[in-house]
This record gives sequence, structure tokens and C-alpha cells, in this order.
Amino acid sequence: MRKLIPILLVFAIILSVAACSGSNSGSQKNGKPVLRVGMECGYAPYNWAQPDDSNDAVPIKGSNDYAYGYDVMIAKFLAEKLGYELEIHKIDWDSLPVAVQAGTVDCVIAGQSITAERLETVDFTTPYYYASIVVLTMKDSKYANAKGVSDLAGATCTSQLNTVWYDVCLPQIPDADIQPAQETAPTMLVALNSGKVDLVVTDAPTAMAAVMVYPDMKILDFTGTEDNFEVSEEEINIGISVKKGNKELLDKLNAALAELTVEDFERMMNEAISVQPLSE
Amino acid sequence: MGSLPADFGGRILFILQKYGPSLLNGALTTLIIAVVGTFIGCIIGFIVGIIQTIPVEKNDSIIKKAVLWVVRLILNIYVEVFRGTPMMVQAVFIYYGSLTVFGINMSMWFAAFFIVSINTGAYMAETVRGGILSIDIGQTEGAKAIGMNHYQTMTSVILPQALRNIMPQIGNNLIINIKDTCVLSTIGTVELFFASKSVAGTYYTFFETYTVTMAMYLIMTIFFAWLLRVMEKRMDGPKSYDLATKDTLAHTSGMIRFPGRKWGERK
Repeated sequence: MRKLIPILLVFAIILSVAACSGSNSGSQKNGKPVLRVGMECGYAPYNWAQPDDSNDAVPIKGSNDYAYGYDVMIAKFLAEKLGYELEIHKIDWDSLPVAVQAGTVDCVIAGQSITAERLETVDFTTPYYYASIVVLTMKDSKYANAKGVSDLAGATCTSQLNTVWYDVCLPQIPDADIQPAQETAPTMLVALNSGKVDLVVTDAPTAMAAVMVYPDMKILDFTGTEDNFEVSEEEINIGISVKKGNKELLDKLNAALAELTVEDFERMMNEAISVQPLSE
Repeated sequence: MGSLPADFGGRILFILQKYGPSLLNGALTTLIIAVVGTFIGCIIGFIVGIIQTIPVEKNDSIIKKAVLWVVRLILNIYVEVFRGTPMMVQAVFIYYGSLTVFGINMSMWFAAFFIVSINTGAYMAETVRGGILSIDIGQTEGAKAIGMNHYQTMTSVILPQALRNIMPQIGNNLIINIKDTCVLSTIGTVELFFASKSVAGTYYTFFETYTVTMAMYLIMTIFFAWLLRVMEKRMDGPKSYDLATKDTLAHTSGMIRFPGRKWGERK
């Protein structure tokens, strides 16, 4: 026992030093305040991780990798406009809302749809992208030629956990056999490719990335037709979330976002899609 | 940079080539957290286990009894709470909860070490208790008979033997920790699993990425399984040995050689 005490003390010291070095809220870097942005870094083309800093990718904190994608482009734009030093934190999708509420990050830019449920716990900026909803199915599926949502009747389907696609869109398919939600986009695609489900519902950028990897998949886009998914305009809007009540940051971000138009969003998204690792 | 090949093997090579360093970094993070966490967890486990097995005599003072009762109650609560709830939930509670409720902003590394250690400690406490109880009561009585106190009995007689007995369980814990650190992705620890998740999400290649990940986990766990076996063997001491000749009493028991003695063999 007596021999253990010095060992324990050493560890206590190491750990408390480690703990102190972590408290960096409101810290400065190069004389500028730091904007800590949370994202998955695994959701192309919104955000992804790459081993080098090509395209001026931003280093991921606590890792040797770099983050890039549409979300990072937006984050860089905002940080530059508002005079912040940008810091990217890699956090699991499910933990993103917790992280922004707890204050581990200042805001989350991760392709999150602005939903009424999410607005209960966090505040959202004005949209920074409008993602149209599409259906992904296999080319040889009996749903491959569907012209509208009613043609999908009876399909076995799934989508990503805690998304508008799973919670709002899937229940609109008549007699749908809705499977448990998948945690990430890749697992959702595996479920489709392996034949466990007939179709998945997701947004256009994800679907475009998916067909590059799985050429046997087909995108069904009902946008503009009568028989499309009924979602409110705000539910397909993608926004930046900040801690509830952080009005100061919210106003700043909104002011900076106001300088971008829908055309700018489209242009940046197309650029992100063209430089994503998959497209090379 | 090349583009993604179409076949399974080609994709695995592609991922290794492009994201090999990222995955290796993740594996290193996994290893550091698992090894440090298991080590500190073992120390916690030993302390808790020893306190749990302090004997209480009928004629002990009421204060000693009361203090022991309170300490043991706290330790029991600690063991049951951390053994009985998922590590993932604990991670979120400790890392994000401490910031929300107490305003403590701990670093990701500290949180990771803390969570794995305290979890391992809860399991190890019971293992150590079992290890101590597995040593024949006669040994304690013998130690008492030659005048050792509880502390001396523990450090010189019981614990060295208990440690050898629980080595396989320490190995189990280490291997479990190597795999279970993957739940720390919830607090943003970029360990092997989280690094793989990124690659899978960047290229939408699930099977290829996780084939690489599984192989890396397996290499780590097999290596440590082997290392712990070697350590166990060293603790057992040499298979053949002479009795100590410096001790004059040894002569009376005869200078017997034990060549190539194997387990279970008695001579």
C-alpha cells in the first residue's frame, strides 16, 4: 500500500495537468478568439476526414487528420468574416447536440436539419443549405421505376437515426415496413446494398456520393411532382446549431450567413462534391 | 491521389495506403487509453479489494467498525454503479455532464483515462476480492502466528499469490478495454473505431474499412494476450530450482532438486 501512494500521486499530478490543459473555453489563438466547431468528419460531402491538407483543409483537434467538405467551407467563411480562429472538433453524430449544449464546442456545422424537436434544445441559425430529399434504391429493384411516393407502397425501408428522413419521410410511404434506423450513412447503404431493405431515404448530396461507390444504386427524385414527400420547408433546411440562448454568437453567424445567397450555397456544395475524396 | 478501385481487395489496399497512418494513429490512441486505463484501474481495484477484505473482529472498537461500514458502503455503491451502467453513458455523463453541471472542462484525454480507469477499477475490485479470498485461510493464520499484522500479511503473503491468480483476469480486462474504448467516440476521442468511422463515411465503404479495422484490433489483442502469458510464466518462476542453501534450516529438510517439475506433478 505505502508503495502505491507515490505512484498514485504521480498519476494524480499527470491527470490534473491534463485536465487543466483542456480547459480552453474562450481562449485565444494568434490573438484571435477561437471558434470551436463540432462535426462528424465522416459524412461526405458535408464533412469528411483526409490525411493531408489539400484544398486548404482544416486540422482536426486531437488528431493528425484534416477535415474538409461543405461544412468546413462554410465554417472557414464564417470564421474569416467574424475574425475567429477556426478549430474543428470531431464528435459523433449523436453527441453533437450534447456537445454544443455542454459548451465543449461553440457551434455545430454538420448537415443538421432544422427541426422543431431540435429547436427545443438548441438554437439554429438561418439555413446554410437546402437539401432536397431523394430515394435511393437498387437498379434491379421493383421500385426502381417509381414515379412518386405512392409507388413505393409496401417497401421495406430505413434511413439514418435522428433525421427528418427517418422520422418524417418514411412514415409517408403507404404500408411501409420501416426497419430500425441506421446509425450512419455507410451502414444505411450497406443495408440497402445487401438487400436487407428495398430503399433508403436521404438527401441529394449523400445519394450522389453513394452512387459513386455503389454503381448499382439509383436515385429517385420526386422533387417538383405532386407525389413527393410532404415536409415543411424548414425541415429540409440545414442550419448551424448553437447553445440555447447564445444570442451573441447566433446573431453574428446569421449576419455573416446573410451575405451568402442560395446560388452561393449551390456553388459551394458542387465544389465540395467535386473535391470529395470519392470524386477523385 | 488515385480514385477508389471497384474490387474488394483493391479497396482495402487503397484505404490502407491513404488512411493507413490515420488508422494507425487511432490504434495508438486506443492502445494508450486501454493500457493506462487498465493500469490505473488495477491500482483502484487493489485498493478497493483490500479495503473490502479487512477483517472485523468482535472486540474491535465501535469507531473502527463504523468507519469501515461507511467506507465499504461507498465502495459498494461505486462498484455497483460503474459495473452496472454502460461505459458509453458514463462517458457522456462525466465528460459533458461535468461541464454542464459543475463547469469543469476536462480535456478529452483526461476524461478518457478517467472513464476507462474507473470502470476497470469497479471490475477489478471484485476480481481482487476474489483473488484474496482464493488464498487458503491457513496462510493468513500462519502469517498471524509468526506475528505479522494485517498489512504485512497482505503485502508479503497474500497479495503476491493473489496477483498471480488474477493475472488472467487482468489480461481479460486489458483486452476488453482495447475493444471497449470504441465507445469513447461519443466524447470525441479519435481512437481506432472513430477513425474507421470517418473513413467509412468519407468513402461510403463499410466492409472494406472495417475489415482493416478488425485486423488491427485482432493484432493488438493477440499481442497482449501473448504478452500476458509470458508475464504469467515469469511470475511462476523457473520450472526447476534448488532450495535456498543460505538458509541453514533448509539443510534439515534436505537439499532436494526439482528438475523439470510440471504443473500438477508432486514430488
